[in-house]
Amino acid sequence: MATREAGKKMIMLKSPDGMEFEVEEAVAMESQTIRKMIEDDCADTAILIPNINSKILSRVIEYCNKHVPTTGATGAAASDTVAPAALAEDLKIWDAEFIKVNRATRFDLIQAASYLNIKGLLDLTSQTTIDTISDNSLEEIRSFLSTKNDYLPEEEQTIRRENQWAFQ
Amino acid sequence: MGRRRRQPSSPSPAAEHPLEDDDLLREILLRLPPQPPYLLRASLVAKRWQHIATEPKFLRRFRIHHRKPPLLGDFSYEYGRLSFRSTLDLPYRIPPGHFSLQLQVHGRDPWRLVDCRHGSVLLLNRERRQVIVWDPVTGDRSLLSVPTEFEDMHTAAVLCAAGEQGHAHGACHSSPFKVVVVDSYEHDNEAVAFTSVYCSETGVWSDLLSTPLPYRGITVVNAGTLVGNTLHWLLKMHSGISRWEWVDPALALDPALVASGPT
Repeated sequence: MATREAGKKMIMLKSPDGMEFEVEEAVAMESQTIRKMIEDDCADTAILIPNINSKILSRVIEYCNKHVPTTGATGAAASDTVAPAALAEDLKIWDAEFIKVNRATRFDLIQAASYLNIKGLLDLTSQTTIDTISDNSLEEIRSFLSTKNDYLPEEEQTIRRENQWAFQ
Repeated sequence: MGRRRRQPSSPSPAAEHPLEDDDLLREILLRLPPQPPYLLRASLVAKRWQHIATEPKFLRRFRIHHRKPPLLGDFSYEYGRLSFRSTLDLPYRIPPGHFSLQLQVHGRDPWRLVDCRHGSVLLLNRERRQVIVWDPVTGDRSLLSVPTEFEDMHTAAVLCAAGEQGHAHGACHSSPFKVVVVDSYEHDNEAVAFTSVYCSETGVWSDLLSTPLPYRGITVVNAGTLVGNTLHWLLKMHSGISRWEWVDPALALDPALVASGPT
């Protein structure tokens, strides 16, 4: 049931493992998927978030809480006194700490960000992943991402030969 | 507590590994650095990666995501040989010897490198009134004869002519191209700058378009600059410079002189 607290509209998010999270509607609407659900329908009910367990969902909510634009009653003092550039810098530092998670958690966060359509979180998680691997050797990338090389040696050689300029 | 009557479309099933999901793999590969060797190398990780890295739709997203096409290096030209120097860092530096072109030169060397844009290199031969459009990546080369009126041209421009929606310049290799040549003419007290446009789709040069010049003694010698859909040339005069704009090469033919005023 939606509740009101100090004038803020709250909604309930529910994970498949039965946990419920009451969050401000503005925070939940950082997710375009949830925004669309709210806009398309009445938001007086709890929203079940499939496939995202409570541990990951709580991290996602933590991210959205931090990134929701601070207007009006929410954090008015902060936005009045801190320059936008300083806020952006603060968010960057916060993001860098937030993403210091193990590989499995980061992959879960990518999946959650993609499904919930939270652009900033998808950027952060995907960019961190690609930054980790882009300068590694192919073998390192495969091992890091548990991906199997399904090329036959001659197929790999053909691609290398055809794009010789790209490979030292 | 009411349950949602409706869930958003296609909630992704919990994959064993997120990179098993093509959409998520796309999201991650999208954020590779824009220099082409990164995507090419990534495509060797596994066949599925290669499949995604060569999808036209993905490549379009990739270019839009990175906005500006990356600078891979620069060209130098000497005695018929056009050489490329990669400015990328190792291990993605393009080895020496690639993207080079050897032209037949008899006696003097009248070819000059005059422009480089959207993946094409343009060479100009004033004496023979010819231009060469060369795509270093595919090796495609077109030799074009310029209309006879262009007796004294010093510069020209090449650009991708792809007009389809969503085209983002960066891999225009299979797209049609345009070549814009410019020259100036003086007779008695009259001075004009004139231009013609070649389109590879039609294979013909447009009619000449001209615009009067305010002074005699103006030459168009510098490389043009494309800003939005407008090509700009600096005009050199005895007493200063002005700017010549040639509006919207993709759509309209509307040359206009914008005199910034001699200084």
